[in-house]
Amino acid sequence: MSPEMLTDLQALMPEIWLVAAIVVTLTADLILGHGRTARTVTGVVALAGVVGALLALGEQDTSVPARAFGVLSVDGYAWFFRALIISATGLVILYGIIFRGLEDRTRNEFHPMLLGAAFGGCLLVSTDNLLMLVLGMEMLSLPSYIMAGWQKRERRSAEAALKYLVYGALASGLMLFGFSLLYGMSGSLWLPDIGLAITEQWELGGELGRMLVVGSTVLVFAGIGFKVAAFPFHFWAPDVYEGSPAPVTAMLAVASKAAGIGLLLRFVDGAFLGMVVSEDWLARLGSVTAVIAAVTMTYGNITAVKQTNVKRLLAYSSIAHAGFLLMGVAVMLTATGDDRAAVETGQQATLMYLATYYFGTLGAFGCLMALADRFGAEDLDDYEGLGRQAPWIGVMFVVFLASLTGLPPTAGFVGKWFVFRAAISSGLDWLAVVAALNAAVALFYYMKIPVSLFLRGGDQPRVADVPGLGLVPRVANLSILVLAAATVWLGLMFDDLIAWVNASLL
Amino acid sequence: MLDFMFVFFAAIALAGGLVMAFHQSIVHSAFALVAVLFGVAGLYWTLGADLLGATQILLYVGGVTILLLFAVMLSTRDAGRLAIGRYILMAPVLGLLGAGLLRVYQGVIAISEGRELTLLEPEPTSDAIGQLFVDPHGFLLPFEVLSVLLLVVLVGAVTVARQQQEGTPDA
Amino acid sequence: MPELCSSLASALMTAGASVVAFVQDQAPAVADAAAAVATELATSGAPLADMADTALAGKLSSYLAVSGILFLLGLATILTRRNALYVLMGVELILNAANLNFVAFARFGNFGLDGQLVAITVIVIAAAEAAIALAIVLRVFHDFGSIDITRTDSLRD
Repeated sequence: MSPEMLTDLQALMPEIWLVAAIVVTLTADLILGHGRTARTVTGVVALAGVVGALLALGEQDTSVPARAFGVLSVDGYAWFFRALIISATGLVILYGIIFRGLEDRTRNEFHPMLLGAAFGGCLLVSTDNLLMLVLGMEMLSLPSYIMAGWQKRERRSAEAALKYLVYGALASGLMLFGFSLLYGMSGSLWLPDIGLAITEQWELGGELGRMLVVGSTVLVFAGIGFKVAAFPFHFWAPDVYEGSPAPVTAMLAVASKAAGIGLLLRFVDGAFLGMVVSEDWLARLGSVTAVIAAVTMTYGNITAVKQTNVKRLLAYSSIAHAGFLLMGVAVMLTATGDDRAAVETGQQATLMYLATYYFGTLGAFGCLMALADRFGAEDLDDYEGLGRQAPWIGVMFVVFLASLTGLPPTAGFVGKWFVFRAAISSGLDWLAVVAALNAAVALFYYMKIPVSLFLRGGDQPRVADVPGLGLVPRVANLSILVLAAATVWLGLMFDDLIAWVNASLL
Repeated sequence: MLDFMFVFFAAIALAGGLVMAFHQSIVHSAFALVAVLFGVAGLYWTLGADLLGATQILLYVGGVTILLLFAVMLSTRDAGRLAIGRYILMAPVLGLLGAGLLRVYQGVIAISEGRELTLLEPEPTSDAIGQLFVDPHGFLLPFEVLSVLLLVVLVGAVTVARQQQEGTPDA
Repeated sequence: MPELCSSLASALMTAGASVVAFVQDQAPAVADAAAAVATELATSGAPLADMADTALAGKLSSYLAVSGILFLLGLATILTRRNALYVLMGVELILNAANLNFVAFARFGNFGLDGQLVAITVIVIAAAEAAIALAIVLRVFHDFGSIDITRTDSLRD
């Protein structure tokens, strides 16, 4: 084996851990069957794979960007997103183990799906080659379609899988068609070349060249917008989030969305903000993105207000968060010309927001699952009085919701602050105002959950016997506690996070 | 000769596409899809992509459509009625999209004509593509990822499709 | 074959014209927009007909004509049918149109083998997607007795 090959493999160590875990879980499932031992073994192997991947990631030095296998770019940016995706997957595996809605017979095969989706997400955020991009996207999406339909006893789960599959296949088909136009335009599968061709066509290609740029951009954005659930490609999200098993919903809301944002930023940076930029084109694209961001967050929040199913409420709120994330992208695009600092402000805002969103959403889903697991509660009505029966979970739930709303002193406040600051600094004042109004609306519906948990319901316990906790639920609760602590800590001490994000900019 | 092949395969593909889009019966439509895929495979040959054309026939015509036909036959009881109203509703939308696509294509064609190169004679591709499959800086990684994708997806599909056997205990 | 090209162009024009005829009956307001489209089609259909002078298989535009029509037929299928399998078949048409684009661009731009590699990748992905589709469609049909994506209604606001 040549030394070059070894360096390439080393850069890919986290992914190799994930794939190894896939293979070992599948083999263990074949050998051991569906018994209790087999379930323990596959669960432990899957978690070990994630831990190994994180350790391998920790050993990587990304201060000097490197390339692996020609098609992957192993830089700080990829490191940031891979860390988010892999660690979120680890938590989701843990949630999956305690989640009772999954049938025992199919638990072993659930882990390879999660690990495969994480593998795809990691590839997706590290590549600037269209072929690898398509492949990473499908490696992330196809296992997700299957996982959405994993609960066989639930009709809703099957329906969620069908909707996700049909709309997802359509979105990736349109994106592929857009890629084919970009390829025809530039003759290359590399984003930097495509960026040059786009600029050239917009400036010199006349009306036809502009049509081509607009057409292919719209098609590509349809695919990416679907992945991050941005308006008008959001319509699948509520149904799929509600119908999927709760751990899968957490995976879609965190890991899948992070991968989509990672793809979006890399695409925007490579194809629109490359060596030579067309200011006219960027200004137009930037204002369209700003409008999409505003509509996305407003739509998500307004629709969330009337939801009573907590999972569905979180689904609409996650659409709203996609709007906030897009604000940073709009800032990147509005920052005209060679002003790299302004581009980085937008990027920094998006990454900060994503990191804080990660803690809040994963934690909120953890609490939701803990409550569903112990009390079978799914709707706001079911939540009445549960806060007094499970005070720890209740309090942590409030912390996560406060963070998602953006209240100080939680991480969410920091994320929102960065996004607002970026928007105002690049002259998008109106967008900041819309976002502030949206945050107020979000406060209104998020607080319905704590109100139900603590202030409603009689003094009588709703469930007479609260089941005792086994080992794994304890570990899961502990991980939720860690998330809650991190949420508060990052709200107060965010210097490290800023340093990390600054080291991860493209 | 090449012209004849092009017209022949393009006609098959387009006729198949028309039947697929507008036929009453979904079974007919699924078979029409086979014709489309076959026609496209022929077009790949006229473009000098011999290995790709063969892959299209083997995998797409032989694999994908068989799966789709299974799904059609196992799932659809009633022939889906053709809603004329929807077509009338969608015709203007499609017209607009078609006009837009035409402009976009004109843009691409203008670029292509601006390049003014002499086309290379097509050579057999299987050798070169095979080399790329094992070239670490070529197609090696995507090729390996494809194998992981197939492994994960097929296991998942079987697991989801398998019926819960009544009476067998979970564990 | 000149006939094919001119028939493609005239088919597009007839389609545009029939749309205009229908819409003019219904709503004059929409008619103007559609008439603009039809004019668009009629004028920009001309290059397609001009191609007849040279060999068809040696031109990028003849392949783009095929892929464009396949793409539109795929969209037509998706927009008009409610059966999930029809939508997936429409997506297959779109994927094939995109693949044909990739290969044709690579051939007529001397871009090498990249385009063909993308097409091979997409074919394998489509096979995996079809396997998933079969599994999920069977589940949904088992649970709902229908695979109409508007009739499965356990999830609503």
